[in-house]
Amino acid sequence: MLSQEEKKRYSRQIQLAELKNEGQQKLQDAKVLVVGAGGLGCPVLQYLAAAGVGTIGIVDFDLVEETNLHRQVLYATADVGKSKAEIASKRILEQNPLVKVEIFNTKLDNSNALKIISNYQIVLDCSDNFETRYAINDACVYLNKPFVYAGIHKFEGQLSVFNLDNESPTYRCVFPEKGEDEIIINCSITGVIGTLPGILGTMQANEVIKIITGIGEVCSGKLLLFNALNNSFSEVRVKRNQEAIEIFNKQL
Amino acid sequence: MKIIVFGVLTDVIGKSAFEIKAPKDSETLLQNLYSEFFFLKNYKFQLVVNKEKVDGNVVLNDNDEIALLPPYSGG
Repeated sequence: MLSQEEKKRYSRQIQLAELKNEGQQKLQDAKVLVVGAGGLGCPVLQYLAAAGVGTIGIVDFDLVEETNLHRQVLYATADVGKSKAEIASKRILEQNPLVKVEIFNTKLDNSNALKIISNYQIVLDCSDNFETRYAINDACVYLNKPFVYAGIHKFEGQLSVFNLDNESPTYRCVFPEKGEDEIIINCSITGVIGTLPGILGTMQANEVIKIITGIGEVCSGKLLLFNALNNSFSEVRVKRNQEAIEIFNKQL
Repeated sequence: MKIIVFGVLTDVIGKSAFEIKAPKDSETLLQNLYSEFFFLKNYKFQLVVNKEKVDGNVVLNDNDEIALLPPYSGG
């Protein structure tokens, strides 16, 4: 049951006919894991906490760096050198003390993914490396959990909800294998416009709210592509590919 | 046939879109691209035909729209 305080706090979304008290209750009962508290993770955490998602897990082992500050808007200059997971937790609890935050000060990989993810119902992939992305995918497929993916590159972003159900595609259905000799391309090498993760991260949070409350159309079965330079959105249709999904099992 | 290029591949190819005469199928297209853009083979990407990700070799026509889609690691 929502308290009077909660009903008032969330009144502007509760008054939406699509949400009502029932939708807010679903948000409150939800347990959502955010992997990565960087460019994508900051807006994701802010909007999930503000919306009243009841339990929010944060996985990040990084420390705040000065070069993060132009896009990782939860962190202040004085936070440089401090734990991202801890500062992010502190900030979102200041914004909304009614939610519960759980911190994992570690890198999510194949060794710990199942253990960490199993306690949550939805995962957000806000990570910045392929090892973690594939670990999230494979653990979510194994545990039958949806995950909301976004990836960014310079001025471009990708977004999709993977493994929403037994018929929807997974990350491996788009990109089957992580190459051994993968050229590591991340923000520290290529650069990134600060607003881009803000836009994509906010869209990830929006997908999570839709999945939890069951409203609207979820971005599943397709990869949404956004270009911040010309404001173009395009979509690529993707089918579930059992052969690609089983690549992971073959590697075991 | 229009080819649209995404992500890091725009740096490898040097442009975000270009036109070519359609080769007979997607395997021939990939061979042509690898020989024209030497460093392309260092990158993983997926072939998208008419906004659908394709697996295996497919026949191509001049009015098809192709996209070269790499994974984005940044977050």
